[in-house]
Amino acid sequence: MLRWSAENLQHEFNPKSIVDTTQPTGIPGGEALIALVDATMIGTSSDRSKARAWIHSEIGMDGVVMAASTYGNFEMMNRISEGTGVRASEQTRKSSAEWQKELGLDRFGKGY
Amino acid sequence: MSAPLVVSEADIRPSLRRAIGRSWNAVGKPGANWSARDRVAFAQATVDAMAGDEVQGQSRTMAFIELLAADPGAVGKDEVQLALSESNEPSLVEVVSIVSRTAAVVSLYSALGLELPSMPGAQPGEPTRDIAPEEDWVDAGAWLPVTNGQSIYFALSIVPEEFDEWVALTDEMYMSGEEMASATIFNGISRAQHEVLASRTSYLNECFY
Repeated sequence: MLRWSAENLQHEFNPKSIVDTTQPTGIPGGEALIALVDATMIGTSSDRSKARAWIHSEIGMDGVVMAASTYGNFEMMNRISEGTGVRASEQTRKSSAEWQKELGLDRFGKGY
Repeated sequence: MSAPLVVSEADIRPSLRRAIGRSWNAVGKPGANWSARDRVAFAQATVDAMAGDEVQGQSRTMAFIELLAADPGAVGKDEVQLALSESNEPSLVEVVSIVSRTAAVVSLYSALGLELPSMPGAQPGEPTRDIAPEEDWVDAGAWLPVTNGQSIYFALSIVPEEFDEWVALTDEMYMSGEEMASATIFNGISRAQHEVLASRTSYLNECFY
């Protein structure tokens, strides 16, 4: 999905940036967005404040709100998926299987 | 990085504010299987677990809620089976919905540095028993049945009220089903920016989704 949307927007997405934050994402504002997720999940309120300011400077206020909203949406989707055992569609899994394996993400999904 | 930025609720677009309010308040109404009092207790347990606080209640349902709220990647078939031993499939789907929607709002407010709204009061009334007929359930290889094929879209579908609440919330927090067909949609951030956020969140939660 990410590769598809990046290609359509003519970005050179770097999948390794999802597992290694020292790597560039190749997506405009991508590092700031990852900083907000990290700050909210494992950081401090100061980290969150700085990440919001970073997104604001790169994408704007609507970007700050939508970044937080999208992050919240996927905290929801993760729990729906893990709590019901319903995974992403077969098509999505097939299309992302190669780089999920490359990044070691295929080990996730307890008991599937 | 730049200087700290203060965000207020007024910065949230009205339609998103309404969707959050709808989801939050729905927790305070009787559900298909559970009373409003139970549902509010489940939502409070989710807030407490996500904050690392002690969760009130000793039941297997509460233990399931605590794990799903605090560490979703640790939930698997065994944990669902254990919770089902004192519940049933529609009841657990409703629990998953409440935990997940509560987690969405908690996460959004935390990311924006806003104070979480107070928990809604529990409204009187009996559970609605609005559950999809059992003959319409499908075993799609998941832990819990759905009413259609193996797609996350139908994960809550055996409890129509919860499915509707989820759709109303995700349409605003993320994008609608129609918008998802577009790689070039921009609703404050681009589609690729949405997916960076989704991927990193799932990675840190150690979730396959």
